[in-house]
Amino acid sequence: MKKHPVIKYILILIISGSCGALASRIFMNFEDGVVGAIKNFSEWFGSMTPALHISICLFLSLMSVYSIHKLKKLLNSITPENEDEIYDQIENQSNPGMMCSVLCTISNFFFLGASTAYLIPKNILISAVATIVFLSINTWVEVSQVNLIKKINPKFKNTDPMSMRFMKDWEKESDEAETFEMYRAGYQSYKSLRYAFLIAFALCCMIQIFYPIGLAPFILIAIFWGVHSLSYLSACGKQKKS
Amino acid sequence: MPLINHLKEYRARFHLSQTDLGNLVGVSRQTISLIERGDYNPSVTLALKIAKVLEATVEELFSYLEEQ
Repeated sequence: MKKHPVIKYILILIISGSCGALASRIFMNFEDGVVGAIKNFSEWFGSMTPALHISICLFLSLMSVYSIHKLKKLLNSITPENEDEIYDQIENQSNPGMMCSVLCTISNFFFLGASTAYLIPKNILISAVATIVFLSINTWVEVSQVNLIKKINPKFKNTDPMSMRFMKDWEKESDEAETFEMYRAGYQSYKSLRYAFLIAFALCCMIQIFYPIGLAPFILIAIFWGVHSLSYLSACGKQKKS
Repeated sequence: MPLINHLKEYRARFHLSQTDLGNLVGVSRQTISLIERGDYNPSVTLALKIAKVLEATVEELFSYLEEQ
């Protein structure tokens, strides 16, 4: 099969097409049930948006604040003998807190958008206030994280996390290993997003069959996919020229 | 390519912490930690700087196993 990629490709097409046809036939038999389930979920979600927004974002914010508190406690326990081990622990334990903070930011914007989609003024107001509060907490978490790293690595002392130039300045101050790690993580993210866009497109197509979602999702996916791919290729081109 | 390093032993001879060595060669403590763990292979420039500070040759500090 490795020597005949064309045969492999044709086989994949036939199998995936057959699976798609079978799944469509099955869904057609349960179309009313599927549409009803989507409508019920949509109504439930619309009524529960403020509660979900506050509970999920509160949980994530508390986790990230607790993480920062733990790291600060670790930093205060440093002695000349255990310096290296404690710094390693801080660097290894900083990721979960940042993940919670990032997820909280994304959830904030998601629930705010969801509230505006349902056009319930009270829910929109609650989501807007919750967004401002939780974004403020997330900003504090991220600034605290950066300040913690600045204490461990004083060379970053001139970078300001509240500045628009922060990411550029941070990259400029990073040494070869830090830059390498950054670029490796960036490439991992690029690879994952390529599949994510494809899956999002497929999901939108399937949902559109049963529930009208309009043109907007497809336009947005196309735009973001394009920006994502073209910015990567453009950056590769610049690297080759330099 | 698996790179073996003796950075920690040489650093201990001079009673240098990772932060101290990092400051002397112009990189962060994290980079020194990554090199010692074998998670990062230093550039030629950095390897030469580290060797100079630790008063050793690059070959004494770093060696590699041929992959079979």
